[in-house]
Amino acid sequence: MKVADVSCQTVGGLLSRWYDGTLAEVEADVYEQHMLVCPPCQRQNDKLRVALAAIPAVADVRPGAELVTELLRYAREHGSAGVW
Amino acid sequence: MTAYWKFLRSGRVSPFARYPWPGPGHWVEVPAAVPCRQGIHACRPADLPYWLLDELWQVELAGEVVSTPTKVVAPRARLLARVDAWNADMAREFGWECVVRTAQHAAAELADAGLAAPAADLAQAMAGPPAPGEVTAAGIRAIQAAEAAGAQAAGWLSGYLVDAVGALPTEPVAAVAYIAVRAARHRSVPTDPEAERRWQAGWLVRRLDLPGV
Repeated sequence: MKVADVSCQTVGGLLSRWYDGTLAEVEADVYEQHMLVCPPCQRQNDKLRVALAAIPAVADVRPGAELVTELLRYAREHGSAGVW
Repeated sequence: MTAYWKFLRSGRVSPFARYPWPGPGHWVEVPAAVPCRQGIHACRPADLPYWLLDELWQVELAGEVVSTPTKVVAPRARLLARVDAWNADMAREFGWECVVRTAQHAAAELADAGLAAPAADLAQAMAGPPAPGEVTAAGIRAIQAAEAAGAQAAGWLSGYLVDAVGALPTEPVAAVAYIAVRAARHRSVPTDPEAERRWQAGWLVRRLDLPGV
């Protein structure tokens, strides 16, 4: 079949990779054709597109020295395993 | 020059990336055509039913045209002219034709399962001018008859018919076309899985009188 029958959940799992351009050709076909028949998934696609487009406009936020000190203290006290 | 087509959203906007296409005659270019990653995607006549949207344009492609099973991709393209025949009325007409096809598949499956009366009931509901309410009612009766007889495929196909009628006024026409394809593929007798899409492409080409086909 040229188009597989897939669920919205399956297609949702392809969303990020579609934007990254890393889907195989057949996966991309499935993703795009599902978008055409499924308005809810299309809306999800559009939300991600808007979010990705906004990322470059976000200021480069760096944590203050006090936050860094506090995070490092927390990591030392609790260990990194399971925290990060 | 080979003729190609492209479906766009209203206002000449691309389906997924929402790229606003310039007006007819202006070339759009990318460095290279890589299917599904980079390039300008377009349809051959057989590809049309896979990509149904609001506007249909004839496009000219340039550079290396890469073919895939359901589309072609090129590094350069320009819109030539909008296919005015593809509009909301024509989309509704096509959608109803897909409902008719779904009903035919359901009726055939019912008949194969020995359920001649519900099959005739469906045929009767489809006989006159489009009557979605009557078709839905006949579809529901067919589901009940199939369930009572343990005819699983006949029940599914009748369900697809009810879905198709329900989708007609609310969902994209691509969804109605897709339901018809699913119905065709769920016949219990072996069928060509691409036959329904071929029928849809043929209908579109014929009804839209596409130039160059």
